[in-house]
Amino acid sequence: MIPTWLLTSWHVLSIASAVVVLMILCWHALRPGPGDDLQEEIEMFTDEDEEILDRIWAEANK
Amino acid sequence: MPTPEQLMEFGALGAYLVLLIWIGVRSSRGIHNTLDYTVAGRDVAWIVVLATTAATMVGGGASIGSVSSVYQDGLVFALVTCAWHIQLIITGLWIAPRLRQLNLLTVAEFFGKRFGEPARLMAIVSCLIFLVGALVAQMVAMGKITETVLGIDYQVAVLGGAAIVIFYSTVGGIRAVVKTDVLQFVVLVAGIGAASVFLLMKNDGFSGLLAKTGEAPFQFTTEEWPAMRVITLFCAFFLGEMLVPPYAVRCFIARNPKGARWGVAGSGIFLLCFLPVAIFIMGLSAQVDPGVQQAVLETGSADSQIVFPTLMRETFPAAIAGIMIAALIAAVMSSGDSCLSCISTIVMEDIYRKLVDPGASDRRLLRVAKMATLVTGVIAAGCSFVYRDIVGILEFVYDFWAPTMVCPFLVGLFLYRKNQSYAATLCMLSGFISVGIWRFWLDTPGDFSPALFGFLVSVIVFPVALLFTHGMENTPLFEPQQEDRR
Repeated sequence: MIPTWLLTSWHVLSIASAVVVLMILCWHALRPGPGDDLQEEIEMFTDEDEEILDRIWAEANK
Repeated sequence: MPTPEQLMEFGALGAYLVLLIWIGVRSSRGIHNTLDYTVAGRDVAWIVVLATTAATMVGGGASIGSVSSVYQDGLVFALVTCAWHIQLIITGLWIAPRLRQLNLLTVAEFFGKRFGEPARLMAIVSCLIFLVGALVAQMVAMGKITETVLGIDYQVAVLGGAAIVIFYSTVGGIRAVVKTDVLQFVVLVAGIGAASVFLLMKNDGFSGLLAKTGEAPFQFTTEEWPAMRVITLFCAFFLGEMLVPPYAVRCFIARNPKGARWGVAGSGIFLLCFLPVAIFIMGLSAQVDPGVQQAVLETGSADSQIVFPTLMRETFPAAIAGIMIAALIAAVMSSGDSCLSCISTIVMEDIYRKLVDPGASDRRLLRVAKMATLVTGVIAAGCSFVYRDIVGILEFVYDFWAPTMVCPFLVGLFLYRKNQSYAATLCMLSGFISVGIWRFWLDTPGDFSPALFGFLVSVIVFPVALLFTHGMENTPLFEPQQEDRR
């Protein structure tokens, strides 16, 4: 039979590991990633905007 | 007329499903090419790899199924499930960095690069058998759980759930799959963690549980579970999911080899610490909970779907129980969407680009991948109306995976030499055929796992075949393939 003190220790480890992993995940989600500003800039333009920019670019290069 | 509790559960489930669709739509914005769609641009941080790998592992079997099995068999089943997590630790520490370094898209690509075209084709067949079977099983599980827990008709539940999974997998590819996995991981870990603490306090700790249940559920082996059965099942669990495409893809999507190592190994370490003891507490608490006992009596047997959700209802207020039930359904969904994503990559890369149109543009390949996701999802949903035996389907796919794939996979990673193509192909073939004979012709003698038997055969055949073939020159067909991706 498994001793209850071993199960209790395992459960404490279980909860501690859950807290640590969730905290790291939160920290990762809140931390600004490399290139986030660039991504925001890219997302500012819709497909229609891109088409207009392409047309302007093509005309400028004529 | 639904009760207020039921309305809250439906509301929580509805909100959860809307969130999944929103994640899918949002993820589609980040899809610019096939690399984004199939391996998330190989730019996923290690902690996200950890969360998505853990979420893929915790499907219906590891959550609802395991709690139900502990409810029936006690500690022994919780210990056997450790095999899944130990397998992830080993895969992460020694295999994931090597796989990530190879910049692969699919498992079959690895076999082509190491052992030539016949091994690649056999790997495609093995991957498709595994993935299609697992996908159908998850869709059946989704329908059955929803039917049992929420009282929704099975066919409506399958169609509704499948439509949502197919939608976000098709528009968002692996990016949507990873993001929904992270959400599911957070909800499941918070819910299961909180439930285990609350239930342990309610039952006065392990000593209190021991006093209520007696010593039987705390034993390492029992009459029904002799040591041999425990060891055999442990080995079958260990090998059954080793290097399967959904985990291999988690290695491919990491930002670098180090990220792959600690993402996959970290998920195994975390799950080993977290899950077995939590499901043990929940299984035992269910044993002593009058509400669960009543529900099990009403269903006529220890129904595998009813124990966990009923325990959640008995433990938490309706809204939180609703979120937990939604997370359980999402756990099944997330295992299904991983299979769907892997199938679409196989169809796009291994079949369409390699065999149908090698010069296809990236835009065309992306369209093929999206179409493959949609078509496979619809076919799998259709199959789930015909085949409803979850355990039967899963046993079938697990039995064939390890004997065909694991031995040559490990040889290709750790003991690779250029003249092993014939031996590896024979090894795969012998594993596949021996499982067929052991399972269907001999009807599994002595209850010895077909997966374990086939794996042992493949391990014996490989060195013997190598002894006879290592001096032979590879024909062009068996020549290891070169990198040809643009």
